[in-house]
Amino acid sequence: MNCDEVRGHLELLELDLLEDPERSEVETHLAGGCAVCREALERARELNAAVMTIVPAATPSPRLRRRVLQTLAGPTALRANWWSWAGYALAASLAAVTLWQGVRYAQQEQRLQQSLAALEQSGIARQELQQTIQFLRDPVTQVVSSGGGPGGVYYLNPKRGVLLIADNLQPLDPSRTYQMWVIPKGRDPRPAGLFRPRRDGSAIHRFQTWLDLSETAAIAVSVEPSSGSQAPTSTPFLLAKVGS
Amino acid sequence: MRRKEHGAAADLYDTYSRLVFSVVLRIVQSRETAEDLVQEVFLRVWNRADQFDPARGGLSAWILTVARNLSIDYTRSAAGKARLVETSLPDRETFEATGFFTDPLQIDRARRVRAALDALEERQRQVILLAYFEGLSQTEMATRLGQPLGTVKTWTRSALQTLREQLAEVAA
Repeated sequence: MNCDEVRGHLELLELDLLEDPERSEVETHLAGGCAVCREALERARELNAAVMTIVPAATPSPRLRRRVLQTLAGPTALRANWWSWAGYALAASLAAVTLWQGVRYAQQEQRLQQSLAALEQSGIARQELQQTIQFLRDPVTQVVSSGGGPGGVYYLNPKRGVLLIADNLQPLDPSRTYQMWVIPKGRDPRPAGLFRPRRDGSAIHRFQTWLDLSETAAIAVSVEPSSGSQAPTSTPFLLAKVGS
Repeated sequence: MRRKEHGAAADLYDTYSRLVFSVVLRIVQSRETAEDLVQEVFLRVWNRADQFDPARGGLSAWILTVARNLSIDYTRSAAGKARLVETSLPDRETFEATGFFTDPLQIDRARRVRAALDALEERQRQVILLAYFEGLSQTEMATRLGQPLGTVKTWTRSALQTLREQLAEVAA
């Protein structure tokens, strides 16, 4: 069975409905490590999930929430406070953004969930959190991600600027700081704010600016003196090309 | 979620419970049974969080897979076989009015999926619903529909190809 034939069966395989002889042939093909078909398998899972969302919406009873939370985490999980509301709102926003990203960005979901966990504990100001949520919910917000090394996802919005959600950043000496850069096409990088990571290496940095995406080549971060720099003095990393 | 942090359980439930409940209810056709199964879904997801592999698809896809599998297992049990089966799509007005999403892009995506299903030929749509919400294999579908197995395979293959193309447009 060639790759095209295998890909025609992946949704049914994921639904556990594929029968022999096709099933064994597809499984043998996948076990052989075909990277293209493994990628197609991810898309098949996303397609299956998308089809399942066509059901009519129904709301479970409030007592089910109590039952589930007591089962999962005990009575303390039921305590409600502002942060739990904020966490829910952000979770919903992150989930919305993740779904919007669809197949192409499915692998970023774990990173987003980790950022949510970091946010829950961060104690950032309420106004800042609300603005972050609005940034993520804005339908014109676009996403680009950096490759390799520490993880970083940039959200770009022409009117709101740049939002970076990063993790695995190295701790810095007090005399140093991280600085974000917006790199216009054919011009020098523009400073886009200073930030420091949390103790777990995660960071959320929002830089408000008018952003012409058609004239922006990339976004990056570098390590700079604590007062910041007018141009990068160390090798930029978390480099994400815009429009790629 | 993997670290079982305070608040993570509530966030998980509040984000996904309505969607999970709706999918489970669509399959098992009983609110009481659906609530029992939803509880089992979240317990399974929670206890197996370390098995979630983002490289194999998003969190929502994983949770929905767990929900569907548990629900189909139930329908194959003796108790499940006695349920009343719903084999049609929700009507468009209901779908539009009670969708899960508030984000315009998500709504657009859901509408495209719905439109793609509406655009299928009736027999193609029927095999998709039987596969996703009844958990029938193609052999079982052939028996249910009184059609040759080869015919059912052709309907299924062409329906899935159409859906793939529609969703590829959304993702592009």
